[in-house]
Amino acid sequence: MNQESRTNIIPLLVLGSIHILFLLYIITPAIGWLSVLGLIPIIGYKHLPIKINKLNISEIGLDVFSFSLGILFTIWIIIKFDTSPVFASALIGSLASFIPNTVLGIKTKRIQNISHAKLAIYAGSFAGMTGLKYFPDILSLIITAIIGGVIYNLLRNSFTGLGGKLGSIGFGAIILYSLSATLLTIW
Amino acid sequence: MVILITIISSIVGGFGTFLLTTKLNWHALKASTLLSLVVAIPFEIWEIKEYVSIPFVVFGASFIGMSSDKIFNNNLILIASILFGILYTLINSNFNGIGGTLGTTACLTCLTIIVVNR
Repeated sequence: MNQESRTNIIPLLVLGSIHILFLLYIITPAIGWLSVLGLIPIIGYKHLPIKINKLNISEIGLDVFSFSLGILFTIWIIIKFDTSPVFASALIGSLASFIPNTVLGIKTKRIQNISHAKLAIYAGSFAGMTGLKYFPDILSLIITAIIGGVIYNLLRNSFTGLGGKLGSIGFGAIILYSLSATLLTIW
Repeated sequence: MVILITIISSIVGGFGTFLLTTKLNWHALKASTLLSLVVAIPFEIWEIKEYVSIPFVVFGASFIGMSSDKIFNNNLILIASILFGILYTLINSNFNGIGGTLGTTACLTCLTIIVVNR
């Protein structure tokens, strides 16, 4: 196995872990042992593009910042205007979708990042749909935003064109924060 | 009756988003969010208690419609949307208000269709 294929395993492991946690915590309590069938879709990963994003601190920073904007504004709309989580998330996503991708018709690498930032905002809004139920304080929100932004960055160039990837990132951020918080409390 | 409404809502969300991206060339983000917003607004204005899950189903299924037309065609999106509606009916009581559960369900649905189709 060469260096490149070794690093390309990272996105595979990240999305795979999120889906296995989903099967464990959401599907299994609903349908019991039948949730094993939920492992079959994981075979589908091999038909999708998987490519690790090169480590770039500014890109990670932008993804974390965008993800946190999505979480914060979604929670704010839910609490302030007493709306449903769907309305709040769809509103934030709609507003993000109108951010232009180009400036004066120029499309540079930096401007391409705007497109990713918009998607990270939408992924963050899914995490924000949770409301304050799983976030006892501002620190928990910040940690979730960092986890979500890093996951988004790792999966940036992988599984493109697969519906539900952003939702999986939002769920991954929440569940990984909850698990780490629980483990720390036990310790 | 409930499962029928759920499946119809799922088709509206999934197929509607896919049509907006493939036929009108909308960005997947814009198609998913605007369709979900249009469906969610009446439920914010009026109290429609009987069908309160409709915006959730449309929103969740719209993630299926965000899939690329290089991987999915109209028929596959239709089948995926129906499967999403059935899965939602089975497991939505276990979502516990956790964000991203609709998206992850949509993702696993899309992957199932990919596995079955290849």
